[in-house]
Amino acid sequence: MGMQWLILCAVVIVGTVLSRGVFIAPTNLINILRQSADVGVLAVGQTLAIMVAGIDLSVGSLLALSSVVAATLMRDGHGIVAPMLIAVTTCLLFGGITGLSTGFARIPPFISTLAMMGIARGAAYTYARGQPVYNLPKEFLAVGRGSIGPIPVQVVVWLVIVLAVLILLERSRWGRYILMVGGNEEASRLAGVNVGRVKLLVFAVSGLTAGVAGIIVTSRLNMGAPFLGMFMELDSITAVVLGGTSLNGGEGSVLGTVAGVILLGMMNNLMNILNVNPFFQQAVKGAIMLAAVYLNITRRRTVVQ
Amino acid sequence: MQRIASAWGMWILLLGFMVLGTVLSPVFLTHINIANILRQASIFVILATAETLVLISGNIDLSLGSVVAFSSVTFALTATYGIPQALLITLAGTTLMGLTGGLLVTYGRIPPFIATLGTMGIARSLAMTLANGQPVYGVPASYAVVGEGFWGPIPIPAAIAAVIFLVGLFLLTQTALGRHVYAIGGEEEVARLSGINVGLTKLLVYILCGLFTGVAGLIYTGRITVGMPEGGVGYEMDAIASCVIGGIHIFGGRGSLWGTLVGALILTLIGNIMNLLDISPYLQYAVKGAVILLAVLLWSRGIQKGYRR
Repeated sequence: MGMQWLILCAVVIVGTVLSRGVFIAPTNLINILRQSADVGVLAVGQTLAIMVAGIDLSVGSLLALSSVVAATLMRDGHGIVAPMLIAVTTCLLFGGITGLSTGFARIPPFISTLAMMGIARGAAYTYARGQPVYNLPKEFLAVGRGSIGPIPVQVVVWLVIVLAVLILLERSRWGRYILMVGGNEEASRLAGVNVGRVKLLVFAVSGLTAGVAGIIVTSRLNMGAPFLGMFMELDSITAVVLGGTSLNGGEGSVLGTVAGVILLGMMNNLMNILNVNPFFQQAVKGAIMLAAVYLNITRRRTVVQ
Repeated sequence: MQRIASAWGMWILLLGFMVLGTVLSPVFLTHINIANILRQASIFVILATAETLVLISGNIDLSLGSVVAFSSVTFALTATYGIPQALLITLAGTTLMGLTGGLLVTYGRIPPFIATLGTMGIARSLAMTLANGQPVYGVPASYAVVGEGFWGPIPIPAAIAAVIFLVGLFLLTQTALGRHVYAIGGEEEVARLSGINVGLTKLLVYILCGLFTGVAGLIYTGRITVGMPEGGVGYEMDAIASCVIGGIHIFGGRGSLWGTLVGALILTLIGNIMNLLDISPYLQYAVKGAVILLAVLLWSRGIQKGYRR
């Protein structure tokens, strides 16, 4: 447990005082978790991308793609499960293309994912003909609005994905490969790790999590739309960095990212309670991200010294 | 493949696209369409010139599109004080944006694509906040001349773009600053050891980038005559695509501004031909993304060897 949990406690205390207790109410805390679930799911994939010393700028666009694919198929009466699977698989494949171009064609990740950011956004707009998609089946709303006991369904989905990736990282050789490649790509290549395949896996998983996040957002809004997810890559990167994962790759933790996501969610929630202009909130978040990266870098530098 | 993608190859490719346009659409070669292409290209050329400076120095700037919106909104809001004052305030504002990105990169030592991802969010958010999320009316109708006017047979925005391009070309090829930019992009440590003030040079590059982007925003505002807080989305991608098509080395140190010019023109032609053929504008995002990937792949044989994270 690192720094981020201490900051989390500090934010809870400050938030409770500033909002005169509204902040700490159980319904509000559940609400924070509910609203964090989409970024939380995105950030899991982003954590892996950053761990291999990469970055994934395409997650926001992939979220939109997943949203319009799922929503259109559901509206046209193809059931619920099949559209969700198709949407998530589509994003998995798009992520796989990024993985191929980064892992095998060796295009640097910030260029290949920037390109994919455009490609996926364009695909989403084209598929939906630029319009939001309404008239989704009622049963589908359970994903974004339902609860299991006191816990919202989307939070359960987030937890499941976190657990799955934790197992991948801690219990499989792929987890070690990911950290090795992020730590020293050339050394891991010489040690016989198939670096291309590791990156393919990482970006495919990041596509998959973006797809799942798209389903969550679509259900929550009861609408699919090609303009969703703009700037969410920013949020997910912020959460990962707040969670203590190094931008240089080779180290980091998914649980830290969970703390980062909750931290970000609490700050959003607090800004809403305190009536901060919603347009200005993005600037605050940008500043928080830059501060987090700066601290992340300087702390590492002092550790090295 | 690399030989095909040489500088002359790019001019031939440009010619090829012009022939393609002429064959596919009867209106392609009309005076109106050519003026339209030049007007459209002027914003791309300015942004791509700005991005070229940054890329050659081994950095990147993702905030261009947001800064265009910021420039547009700032100008529209201050236009009531008179046009010259508004121009000054706007360019000062965007220069400050560039400076912020530069400071984060040089003295904050934040990786450039993260730092400018941050300023991208901040500039967009400031534009939205200042404009309260709405288009800002208040740009005088006479200002449209900047976007739509002619100077003899030449559209005024194209003339402005030509000036910016020539300034960029002069800086890169004829001045010490230009040589320092190439040196830093080639091998930063060597540049430092040979006595170049690396921090200051990078800072200047980002300041110029902010200034040029501000000019692009002013032309953009002249074309639509409102301050548009949601404008310019994805323009940084067009700028990077222009550079990459034109053979600017994405890890810095190599590339010519002439290549960028051709890249920007090719990209404009692709957009124009798609419009003339009535292909969905939404698909253009995807095509541009694919063009970036293809261009990097074609140019990348040499780049791979130089690739370190």
